Amino acid sequence: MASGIPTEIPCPSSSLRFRFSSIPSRDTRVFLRPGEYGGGPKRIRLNLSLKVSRRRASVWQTLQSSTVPCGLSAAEKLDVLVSEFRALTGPIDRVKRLLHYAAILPDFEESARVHSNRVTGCTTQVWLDVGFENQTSSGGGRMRFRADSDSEITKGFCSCLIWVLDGAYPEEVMAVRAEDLGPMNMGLVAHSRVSTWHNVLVSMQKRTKGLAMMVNGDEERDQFGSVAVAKKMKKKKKKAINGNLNSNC
Amino acid sequence: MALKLPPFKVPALSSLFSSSRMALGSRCVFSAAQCSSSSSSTALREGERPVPAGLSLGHLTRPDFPILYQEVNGSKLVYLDSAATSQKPTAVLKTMQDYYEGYNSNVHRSIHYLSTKATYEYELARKKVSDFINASDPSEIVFTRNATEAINLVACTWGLTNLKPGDEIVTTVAEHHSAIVPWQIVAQKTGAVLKFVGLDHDELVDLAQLRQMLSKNTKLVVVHHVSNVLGSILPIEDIAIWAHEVGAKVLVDACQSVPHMVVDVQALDADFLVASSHKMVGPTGIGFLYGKIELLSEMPPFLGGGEMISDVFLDHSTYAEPPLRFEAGTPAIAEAIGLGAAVDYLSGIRMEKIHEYEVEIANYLYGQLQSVPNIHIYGPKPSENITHLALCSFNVEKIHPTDIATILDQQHGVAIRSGHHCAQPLHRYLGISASARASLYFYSTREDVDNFIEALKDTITFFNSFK
Repeated sequence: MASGIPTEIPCPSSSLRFRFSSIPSRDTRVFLRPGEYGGGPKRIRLNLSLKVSRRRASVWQTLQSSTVPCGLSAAEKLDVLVSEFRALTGPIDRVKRLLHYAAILPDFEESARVHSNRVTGCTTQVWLDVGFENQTSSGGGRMRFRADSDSEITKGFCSCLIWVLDGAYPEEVMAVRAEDLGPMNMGLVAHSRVSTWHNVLVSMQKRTKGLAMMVNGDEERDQFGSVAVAKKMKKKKKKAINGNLNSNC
Repeated sequence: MALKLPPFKVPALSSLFSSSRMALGSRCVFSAAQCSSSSSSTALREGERPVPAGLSLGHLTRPDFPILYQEVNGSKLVYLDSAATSQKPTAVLKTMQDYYEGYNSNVHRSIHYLSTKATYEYELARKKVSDFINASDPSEIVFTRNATEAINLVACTWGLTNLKPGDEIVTTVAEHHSAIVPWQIVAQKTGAVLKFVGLDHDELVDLAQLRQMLSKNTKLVVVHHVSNVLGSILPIEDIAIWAHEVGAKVLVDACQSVPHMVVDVQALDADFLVASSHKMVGPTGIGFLYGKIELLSEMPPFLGGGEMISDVFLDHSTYAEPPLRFEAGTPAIAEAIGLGAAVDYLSGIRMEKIHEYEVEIANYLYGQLQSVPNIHIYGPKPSENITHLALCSFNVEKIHPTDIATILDQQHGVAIRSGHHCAQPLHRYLGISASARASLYFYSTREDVDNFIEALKDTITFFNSFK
């Protein structure tokens, strides 16, 4: 088992379907990550050492449409993703992983492929559709993202970002920094127009800010209706950091 | 007290700006096309490097470029992005280091030793550039930050002064953004109109359409000499004749020609010509504008400040003569001197030899690339009548060029460019959003091409295995 990859992730799920995908014969490990499911919380053991025969097949993960997240915050999902990519030893392994995730990116509606949804600054074409879900019984409005690109690697980037941020609270979206995505990048991290991660994230954050302000008005107050959630998360993170510092003394 | 003279010979600066310019009508006839086919059978000139038999120019010159001897992502670097920027020989790097270590000083300002030497070397670099493109006098060479700034200089001075509503600027869909955007801005301010020439079925600029587009309303023709995407060469001499017949000026973007072939501005009869140092083994941060002196003399200043003035009063100022009129502030001194060293380096090889070698390796690249399945190469196919320079822009069916470039880099150490190459209108015209581009220079070898092709085939196999 690759180090740093959690094998058990709390995730509410009642069903999971798989088909096997076409995988290059050199790559005999398949990593599965949780999607969004409905139902109550459940622990799922991920098969991290699934050996795939050389025969061609296809794998995808069914994402049950649900507005209820799997229990992980955006920050926690980001940690999972970073751990996953950090465990990949070479850039080509990261590319392969991105291509897998590109294959499971949800379809993008043609009607959303418009100029206003284009992410500027990328060397590839990227479309980003941003929505805002009204407040639910769980409290707070959530951001919805869908993306697509004409480049498979970029689609993989988008797939990862979507998994982290789709369904997140607006403040969770705003809290992600480009540096956090560094381990997933190819080669050197650079804030240049070829850095797709950076451009897509910036676009997500800009449109989140704009949309949230539009929905909640321009007043400088609790715009998102979920500040309590954000404060709770911040407290939890601080506790974790302090815990680590104490254990190192 | 005896006056101590500097150890180097300091010719009078005025001699570098000789007043004995060649008279109009007695221009040197020296065709670039003729030079491109000249062989190495002529006797060696002073300072020229001989090319031993059996050794290609690429193999001979590579040792001058230490940057090429490195590994990238575990593979030997194969640098095929020289059209974006060229690598620099140690001679250029050393020259710049010598400047900063030996005589760094501001130019045109002081009379002490360091300043005098810096000024001498700076103006010598201007003369070298002037001779390199056969300008009639160094005063026709204005140092700028790059070709983009040079075009903006012409647009903001000549353009704003001379263009009026209804005037036409004829250009092509294949121009670099730097040759289009400044004129869009000027057209908006002056009411002039931009007109674009398309491509013919060979993906060459449609010269018949260009000629048809010229009229008495045409005031300026802006064209590339060599396309940074298509690799094609335009007959600037003919275009200049057609333009001058209707009273229009010609601005030539020579960024991809000056580094790769003999360019003679007098033979071309270009009114303005721009190029960038960093594409011709010189440093970044310096380029130049060539302008016929009679045009430069009539142009108002571009930027105001020190250096470009004659006298400054509180209520008005008078300006220096060209080229200093257009070089406000402290210039990029080390860079200009570095550009001079680059010119020396290229001249040591001779541009005819460089062009001859590059045509040969360009044909090899094109032929090898054509053998890759499902590939489309943009621009004209090389033939007896059509020269395709050493760059190929291409696409592979159903694989994004950026994906290709990523794997080439990460898995094979091959550096190519992907995207629109600062030519979005051209890509839109071709019906694509992006392309990949491999571009060679005289330090590239056949082995580079072979490594690239093998890596490309492997990359295509990699992506096809995921489908």
